[in-house]
Amino acid sequence: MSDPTPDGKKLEARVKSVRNEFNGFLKINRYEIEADRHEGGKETYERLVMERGHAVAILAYDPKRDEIVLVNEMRPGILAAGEYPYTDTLPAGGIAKGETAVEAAIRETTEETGLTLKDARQIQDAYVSAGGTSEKISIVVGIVDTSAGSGIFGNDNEKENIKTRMVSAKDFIREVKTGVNNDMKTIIAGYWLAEHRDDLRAQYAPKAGGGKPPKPS
Amino acid sequence: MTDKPQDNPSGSTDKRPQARVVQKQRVFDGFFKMDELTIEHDTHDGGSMTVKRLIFERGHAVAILGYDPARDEVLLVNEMRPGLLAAGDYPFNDSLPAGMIDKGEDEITAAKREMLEETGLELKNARLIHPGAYVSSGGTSERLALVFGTVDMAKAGGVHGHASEGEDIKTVILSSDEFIQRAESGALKDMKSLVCAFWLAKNRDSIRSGHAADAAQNDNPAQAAPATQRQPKP
Repeated sequence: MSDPTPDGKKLEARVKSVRNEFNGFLKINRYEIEADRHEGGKETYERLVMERGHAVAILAYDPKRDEIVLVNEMRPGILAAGEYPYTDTLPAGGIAKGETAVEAAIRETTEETGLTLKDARQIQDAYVSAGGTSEKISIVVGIVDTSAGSGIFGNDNEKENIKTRMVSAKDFIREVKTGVNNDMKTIIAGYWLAEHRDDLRAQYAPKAGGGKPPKPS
Repeated sequence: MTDKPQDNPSGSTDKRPQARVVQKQRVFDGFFKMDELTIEHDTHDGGSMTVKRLIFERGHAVAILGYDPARDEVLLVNEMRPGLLAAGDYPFNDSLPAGMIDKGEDEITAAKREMLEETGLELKNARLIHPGAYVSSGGTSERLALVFGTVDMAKAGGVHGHASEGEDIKTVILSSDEFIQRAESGALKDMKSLVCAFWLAKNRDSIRSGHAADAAQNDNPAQAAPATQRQPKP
């Protein structure tokens, strides 16, 4: 939290007006904002914000096989940036109206991988680029059984074409830590898994050499 | 990963699926831009598909993990974040200094410039933690590089930024324990800051021992132990 202003109040900002400047699957709104200044006083300015609702990304882990599921698809943003656009990322998608992040996670996991996500819980909630967009992504971790193997999936209505890739937890963590993976939310999940993998294995697959029992919470 | 997605020239050995932009239309042109791309791409089952996708364009960015290894402190900035306000969240938020990479600049140059503009501090020993990760590649081309460097936290403080651009950026100093704890607890709600916090948790000890060895060598070059690895791998 920020320190209070010189007169001791918490800094505040308010939206004076919003005007829609572009309306499509992605929207751009112009916000007129009145904000306190750190050294006292207020100012009013305009900011464009791209809006598309919020999203969920799923770290689907199989504790018996010690592997996770990534999806490979053509990422238009990467193509627009001039790089090779087929990359491995966490399964992800928009959170629909009325859905919680966990419900969206279960739905997206089935749609994108054909697998059933169990014991799902949210581990992180983060704004992707708060200077220019309101988009927030929730990362949900859950348990899957990857024995069905990989395949090609996707929501036909959204023209998705997704190939799943099962990767060992060890390889995934290494790809994240060495900078091979170029997707921010996937990198966060990789670091989280590095910290929590032993606990997950001990909880769900103690006979599979899962290591130390979980730490008391 | 950095291959250009061109049509395969005859004789190309790239067997991976390929994609190409067949049409690009600028549908919004302001401080930020929006393009509608028509993309023809190979499908995983060996066919091909054409899709239209909107892409939000705002260029590429760099975020800086400014760290003082002697004090074990991390430099953050507090400013009003329009995205949080638009999402209905409290918008004054602590996150790492960051900014857009200007034309002709590389990531390190941009990092040093942004650090100076946003905090008044000089960034030393700057190096890439990550060359560039995509923040939301379904709908934007924005790629964010992460740069690590050292700062002298004794000089840190105050409010900075270009007032003419409405920037009002207050320096925030956190112990690295506090920074890492905020990331682990979910209190840090900013993707770039989260990645850097986890990276710091893994690399802090080797950075500090490398720095201590350097400092000892500078004080007593004849008597210091050999410097440990100066540039620990991430």
